[in-house]
Amino acid sequence: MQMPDPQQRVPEVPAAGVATEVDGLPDVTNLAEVPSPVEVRVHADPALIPSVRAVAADLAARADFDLDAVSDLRMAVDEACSALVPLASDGGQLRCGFTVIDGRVAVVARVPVDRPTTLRQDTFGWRVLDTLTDVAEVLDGDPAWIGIRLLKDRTTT
Amino acid sequence: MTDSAGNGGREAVATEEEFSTEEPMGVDVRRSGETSVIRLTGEIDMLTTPALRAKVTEELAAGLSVLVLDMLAVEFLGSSGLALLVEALDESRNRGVALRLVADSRPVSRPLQATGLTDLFEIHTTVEDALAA
Repeated sequence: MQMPDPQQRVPEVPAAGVATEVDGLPDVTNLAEVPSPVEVRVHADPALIPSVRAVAADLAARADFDLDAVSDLRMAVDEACSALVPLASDGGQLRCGFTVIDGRVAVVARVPVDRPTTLRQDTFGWRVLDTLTDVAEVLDGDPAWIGIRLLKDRTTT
Repeated sequence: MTDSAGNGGREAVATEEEFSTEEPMGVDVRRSGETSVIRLTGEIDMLTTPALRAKVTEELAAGLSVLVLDMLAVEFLGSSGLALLVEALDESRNRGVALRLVADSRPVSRPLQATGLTDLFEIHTTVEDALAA
């Protein structure tokens, strides 16, 4: 009897939210320096967010994301930066690190804060962020910084 | 306690008063009788939404029967822009104004679609269609 082999292997994809080496999960207790192949540092100023989201879109396009996925990542990075910038200490930098591996883009955006802070996740903006990405999480393990980590796969839209 | 991490964000960097963004967004309002068309161009994000909100609020308070938001030339629509569209929709219903969007390009249609908002709005592909609806 010819039956499809039920044991046939499909490549294993880590569950959403599960950290893998590939994703380069940052040391969440030290967000000042997060080693990334690409990092953009700008004043924590809303006027500079367009430049950061443009870099995100460019990296996604070069990683063969389809146009909807590029648009989603651009919007997600915009939202993450927009949520963080108002929390930044005076004169602080918005730092946004990008890692592109195996058709996924990982983003770690963060700003320095004057006191330990977290981010509300009951907002419309967070819901948008969560919808647009495969993983969206707040990084609040470093008392001097607040960050958001995003993962977006080129095939998920 | 160390404050080195915090200081990391305060490196001395040359500052420019206006890092500039020339006209990131344009808002052009054409009112005729009880109909108003607001033509938006450029990027609708955290930075530009307040100016847009002021215009939309002003038009919605002007006793219109139809408000058309022409978004054909919008290049980016962020969540603050989406939130404004939803607010405008609520307000238009409160005031009995028909709110119509004009959009047919990815920068507007994808954010609406990805966030499940498309069906909330009356969307047309040309201003003429929106006015004739």
